[in-house]
Amino acid sequence: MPASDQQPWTILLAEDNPGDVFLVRRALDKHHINYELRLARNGEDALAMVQQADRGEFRLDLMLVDLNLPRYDGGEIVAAARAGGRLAKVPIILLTSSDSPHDRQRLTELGANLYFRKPSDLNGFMKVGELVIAVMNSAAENSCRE
Amino acid sequence: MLHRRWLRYLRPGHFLLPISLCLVFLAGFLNFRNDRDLKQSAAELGRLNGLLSANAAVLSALTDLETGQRGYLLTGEPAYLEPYQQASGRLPRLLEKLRVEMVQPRQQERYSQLENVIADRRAEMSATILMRGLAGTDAALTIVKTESGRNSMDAIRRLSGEINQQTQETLAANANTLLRRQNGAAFTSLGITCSLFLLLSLAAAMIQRGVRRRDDLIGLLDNSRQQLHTTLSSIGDGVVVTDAEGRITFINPVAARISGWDSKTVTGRKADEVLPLLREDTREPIDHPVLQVLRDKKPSGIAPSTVLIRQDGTEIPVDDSAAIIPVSDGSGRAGPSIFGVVMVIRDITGQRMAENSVRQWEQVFDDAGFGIAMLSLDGVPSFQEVNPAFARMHGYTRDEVRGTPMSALVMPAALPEKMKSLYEAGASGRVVIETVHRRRDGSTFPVIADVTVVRDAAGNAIYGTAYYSDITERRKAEDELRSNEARFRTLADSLPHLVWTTLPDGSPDYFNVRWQNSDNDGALTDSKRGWHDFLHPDDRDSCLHSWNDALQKGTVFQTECRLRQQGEDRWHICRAVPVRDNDGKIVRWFGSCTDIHDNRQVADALRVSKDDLQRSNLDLEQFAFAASHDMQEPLRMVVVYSQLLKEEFASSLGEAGVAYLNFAVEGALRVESLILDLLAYSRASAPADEQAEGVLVGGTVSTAIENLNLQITQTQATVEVGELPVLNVPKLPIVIVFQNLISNAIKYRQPGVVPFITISADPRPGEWVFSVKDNGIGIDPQYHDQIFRVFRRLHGAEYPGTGIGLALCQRLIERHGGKIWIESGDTGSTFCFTLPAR
Repeated sequence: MPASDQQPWTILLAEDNPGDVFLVRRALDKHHINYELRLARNGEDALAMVQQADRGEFRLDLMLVDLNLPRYDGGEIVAAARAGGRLAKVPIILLTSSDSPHDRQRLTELGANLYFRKPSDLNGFMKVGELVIAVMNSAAENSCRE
Repeated sequence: MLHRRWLRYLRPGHFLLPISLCLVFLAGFLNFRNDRDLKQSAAELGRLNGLLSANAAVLSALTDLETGQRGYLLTGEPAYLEPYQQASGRLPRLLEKLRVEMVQPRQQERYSQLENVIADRRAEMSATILMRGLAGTDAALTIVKTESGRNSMDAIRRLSGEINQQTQETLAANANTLLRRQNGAAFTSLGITCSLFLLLSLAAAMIQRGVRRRDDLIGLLDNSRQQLHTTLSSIGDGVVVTDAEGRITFINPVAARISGWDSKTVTGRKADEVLPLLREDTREPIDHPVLQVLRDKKPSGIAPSTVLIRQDGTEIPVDDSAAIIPVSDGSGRAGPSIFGVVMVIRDITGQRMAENSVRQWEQVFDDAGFGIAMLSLDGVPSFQEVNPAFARMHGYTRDEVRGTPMSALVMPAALPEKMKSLYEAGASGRVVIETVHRRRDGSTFPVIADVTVVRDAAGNAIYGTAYYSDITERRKAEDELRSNEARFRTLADSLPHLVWTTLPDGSPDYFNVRWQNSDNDGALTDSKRGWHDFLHPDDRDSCLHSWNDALQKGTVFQTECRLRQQGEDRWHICRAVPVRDNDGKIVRWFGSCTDIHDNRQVADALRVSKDDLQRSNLDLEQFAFAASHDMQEPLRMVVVYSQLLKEEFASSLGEAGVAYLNFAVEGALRVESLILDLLAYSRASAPADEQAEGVLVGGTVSTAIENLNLQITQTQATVEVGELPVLNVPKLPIVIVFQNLISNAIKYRQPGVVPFITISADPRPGEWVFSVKDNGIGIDPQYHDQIFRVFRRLHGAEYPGTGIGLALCQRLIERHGGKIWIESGDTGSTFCFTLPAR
């Protein structure tokens, strides 16, 4: 977890459901994560942001992408991020409400790091915060090693 | 005769050699003798000359003695003694030499005298020298004055002179003899040389004449040989000549052709090896004629039926014989020794073939299965000769039939006019008829007779031949065929199908009554329209195409098409199979058309409704999947935000408010589990995409038990698992089924009783039966057929559930080829299901 004096993590959240946006913010806050959220309400916006980040217009530390987005789905967003050079190693967590093994396999192939099935209870949902910390720590370790 | 033979050798040439030899021998002898004499004379001359010189040397030595003696006697000087002493030392040697030379007795006698007087003289001289030395000159002179010395010396001189003279005389005599002899020898040599020259000239002339004669003879011989070669080469038989060892020296072109050998390669090789002969019948090698002749010294006979193994290994029938070539003595008479063998080989292939051909025809005549007869047409037509089959056919022997009039065997009524006329004078030609013959026992039988009569221009029969076949069996077969055909037609007409046959080319030659009845306007009998006219225009091309294809390939024809029947186009299945003869050749096509119009309509309707049903099912499943999936989202919101509300505003809501919220969350969670179960249920009918391979059923049970761990621990339930097989089924559905059944068994337990569940499997033919038995509350048999329905529940809220679990189990089991049911015992319930073995 970044100390408060450190630069906050820039997190791209692609999610059309405002209820889920609220729950994600709550989970991140609950885990005392210092973050700056860039929110995309649909696939189109998410794609545009990915492209901006890829061009270096802003820094991106983590992507939380809902699978079921309007216009472009989560898979396409992941593919776009992995296609560019700058975002090739940015951790991506996919959020989904379904539990299809087929989807899971496809998105892992596209390059998502984790797969979070939105649970039907509050405490379960809050675990997404732990996931974010775990992924970021792992990414930091990897970059240190490199 | 003897002297004549000897006279042959008494020719001039034959004297020349002995005479010449005698002369040469004589000359040699004379020369030898002459030479010996000359050598003897030369030795004598040498000896005489040696004698002369030895004599002179002795005399000279004596003179030296005397000179030395006198000098000493006169002077007393010992120096004078030196020549004396030298001569004295030399003298015995010289005397010895002289003695050796004087070999004749008279000479020896003279030598003895000489030796004595010389001894005297030497004694006198040595005495004087001794005296001179001892007593002085005077004393010595006293001895000298005795004259004995002078006398001795005179005697010596006389004797020496005599020896000299005699030797000189002997020398002269020897020289004369030698000269005479040399002259004689020269004359003799000249005479002999002249004679030899004459003889040699004579011999040369004779040799010249002999050579000329030999050349003439060689020319003559060459001509003869050429003639012989030409004769042997042009002769029609194969000729092989061997030497006395049996080695081939000549092979003529015919023999080369018969044997397949080339005359160059075969020359010098053993005849019996190159031209092996076998007996045709036993296939054993015969005593080879060449060897036979060499052994027996007489011509060989002709071996019967011999085959020659040719150079290329093929065989050729030959006649062969061999004869001696004797050594000739010029008189043309055979001598006791053999010069060689001449073997004659004749290729008798043609002859053998002709023989075989005749034999074969005889065989055909004897063995033929049909009767053959040669007819006698002079006078009353009768059988001149018949074969065994003909005799047998009529119940006679051949001898009995020979000469029998034809009318005895042929039923007169059955003989048509044209046959009768063939036997009349002048008629010629061939007639084939079916007629009736009579056997010996009076019975009759049908016959096909094929009679040929050939007559010359004058009307005389050259020959008449006939063959006869008993056609009783054929008649019977024809009758049977006719009866079969009638049966077939009856059968075909009674069938509720269109039946037809065609010729091999596809042109129809039969339609059954049913088809004829539906032919309103005579299309079937119209060659242009035929049965094609019955085809629906849309089916015509494809139907005719497959019919022509079948005709071409000889394969079964089958197609479905519409045929017009009673004014209606009705679907038919048309099928035709080729009928083949023994050689596999198609002789006919048998076809039938079955009306499947009604069946087809039903099948079409079924297919349509099945397709509709499948589509509807698919839609329904997709709908269920999509609906349940999308319904989860809002439910999640309800649950999560109700929980949030409770967490953050519990104090404001109060106890009642919190309770209401709990109900809302519970309700929403129940809807969610319903949706999840429905989702599983809808997926259960989707096509199986999992690979089915060796799955340990025991493993799936373990997984199910692990998934239910919380429930089992809470209720302290026991699950006993028996031996379970390995099956080719996907793993996940079986896990779900066991999980549902075990879960149910625990859920519907008797209050206060610890659940006890037994899982077992029993093999049955082709499948396994699995059972899950519990000690729970059991199910009333009246509900047994309801519990597998979706949403069917037998209990209220005391046993929470969605009513989908068993329906899902049924769907999964059925999808994998099994079935599921419930059996109830005294207590609890037993759920059973089957799965196919392997």
